[in-house]
Amino acid sequence: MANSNQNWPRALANAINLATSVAAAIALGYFGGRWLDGRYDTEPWLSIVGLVFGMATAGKMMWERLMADNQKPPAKEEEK
Amino acid sequence: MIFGMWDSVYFHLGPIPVDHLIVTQWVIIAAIGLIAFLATRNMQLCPKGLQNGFEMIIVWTYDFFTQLMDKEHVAKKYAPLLSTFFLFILFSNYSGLIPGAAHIQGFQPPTSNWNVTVTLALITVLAVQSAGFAEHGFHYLGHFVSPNPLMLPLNLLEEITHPLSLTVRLFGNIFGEEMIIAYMLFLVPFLIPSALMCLSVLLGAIQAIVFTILSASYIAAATGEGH
Repeated sequence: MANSNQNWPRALANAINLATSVAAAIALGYFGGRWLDGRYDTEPWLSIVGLVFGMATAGKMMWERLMADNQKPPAKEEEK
Repeated sequence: MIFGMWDSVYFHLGPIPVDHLIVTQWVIIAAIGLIAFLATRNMQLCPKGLQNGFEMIIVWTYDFFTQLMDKEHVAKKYAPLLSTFFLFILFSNYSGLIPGAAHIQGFQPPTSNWNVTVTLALITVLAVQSAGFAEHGFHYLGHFVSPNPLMLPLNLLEEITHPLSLTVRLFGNIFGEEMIIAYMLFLVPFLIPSALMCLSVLLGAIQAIVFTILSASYIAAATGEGH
């Protein structure tokens, strides 16, 4: 959940960003792996590795976003 | 021609073929330049008319990007680029709203072409990397191995994801919208395409805003304290 530390332009940017970046990371990992499979004749292993990497990247992005949202507000805001 | 996609080349500039999309972009650039010229040709201390409107927009834009990026100097440095993105994409999206545009050579929105959206996304990538280096120097490279070197592949994949999502989103939305309008023009020549074109006014603006906000957020991430 967004806290008071987050202003609306950034909240909007995060919402738009996460919605498509997660899908793009998974798609990029999978299709990148599939392209490598075709190139090196390793089907389906590199597709699976790519998919795993893509999903891990998507998870990392979501985790970082969550951590940034739950960060302690800056000191000047606490003093108020 | 496939659903309004023209591929004719007017002439060559050296090895570069100049087609109708490039000419449309030149017209859009000229239109934006003309409006900017008219707004600033007779600057007054107490602004009136077009200058007043433009000053209001610029102040709002600076405030918006400052809130988004946290750092005022970064926001001021990149606000012109981001505002240009917004205006260019908005004008490009709207160029397809001229009635029958999908069937008239030269009125197809440039943003419905993959090459244009890739170029815009690559400009964003260059801006993001240069902003990162300008703000953090070579320490910026450290974020690729943060929190530890094992994360390098994931961080690289994340970095490539940004231009991909910018490109696909803008291209997909505008191309899809053009396709639907073109189909509807074949089926029902007036009523339904008009309603869809009204929706396109909203869609064109939203896509321009989304591209601009995302570019700003990527620059903010590259210049942020996390790096």
